[in-house]
Amino acid sequence: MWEYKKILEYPANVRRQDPDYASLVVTQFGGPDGELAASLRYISQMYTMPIPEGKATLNNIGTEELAHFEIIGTLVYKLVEGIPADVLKNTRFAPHYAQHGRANYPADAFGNAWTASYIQSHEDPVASIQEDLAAEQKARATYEYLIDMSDDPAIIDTLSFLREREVVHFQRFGEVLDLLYDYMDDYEEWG
Amino acid sequence: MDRNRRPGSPVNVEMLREIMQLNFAMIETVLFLNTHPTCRPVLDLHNEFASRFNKLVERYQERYGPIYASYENAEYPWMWIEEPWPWEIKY
Repeated sequence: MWEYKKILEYPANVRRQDPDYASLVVTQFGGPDGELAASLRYISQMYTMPIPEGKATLNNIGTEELAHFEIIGTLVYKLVEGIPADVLKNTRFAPHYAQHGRANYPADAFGNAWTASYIQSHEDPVASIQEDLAAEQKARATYEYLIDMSDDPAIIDTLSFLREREVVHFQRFGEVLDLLYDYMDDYEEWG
Repeated sequence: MDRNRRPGSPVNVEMLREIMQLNFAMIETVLFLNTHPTCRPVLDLHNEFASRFNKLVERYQERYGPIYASYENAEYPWMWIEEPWPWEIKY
């Protein structure tokens, strides 16, 4: 089960509101390499992961990604909160406002709704962990593109934290992959 | 429902940030320990962070309101619903 803590994992502030940027950063809320996809990918894969280190890693990283989903949701919310419709209509956020108002919705920067097709979950643990390693790199690259397009130091600070987490997760998944290969060697010898 | 009953809970952002830092230190040590379960120094570090986190959360909840929905000595009236929520706070 999951239990909520009434805190963010890391502060999420915006120096000034920016609906155009909201419609870009939203891709980490509901896009192909976003935090929702990451979380659901890992907490779907964990059930059949054969080694204990792998189950725990998928469970905890999947949990942390959901906290990142909340951080990105906070940024989007703060970027557009209270901005009147006649201002929003002249921004990239207008299509989002037409369909959702200022409510958060898991979609990518083009407006495509989140889909489970973004993720894969295999019983073959090597296939799953390789997918996870790639996912962390794609998310890291996406954060770099988003950081490159921002001049708000508060947003850059939060996105830099999230980028760094992708690097740490990549490292942990790499360790799980090594442990998996050891496990499979043992299995072949003794199994 | 009596809307006047809800003043919104006070927030101590500085203390909240300290809780968030310790929470993060726990997240990081937990992840590391998952793939290094026999690393004693990091285990000790994790236990120290967890102990400091629990004490600080307890103090925060006594003075300012819930971090968890359920905890011992929850106050009347029910405080969990009080704003601000994490996304409404300027850190």
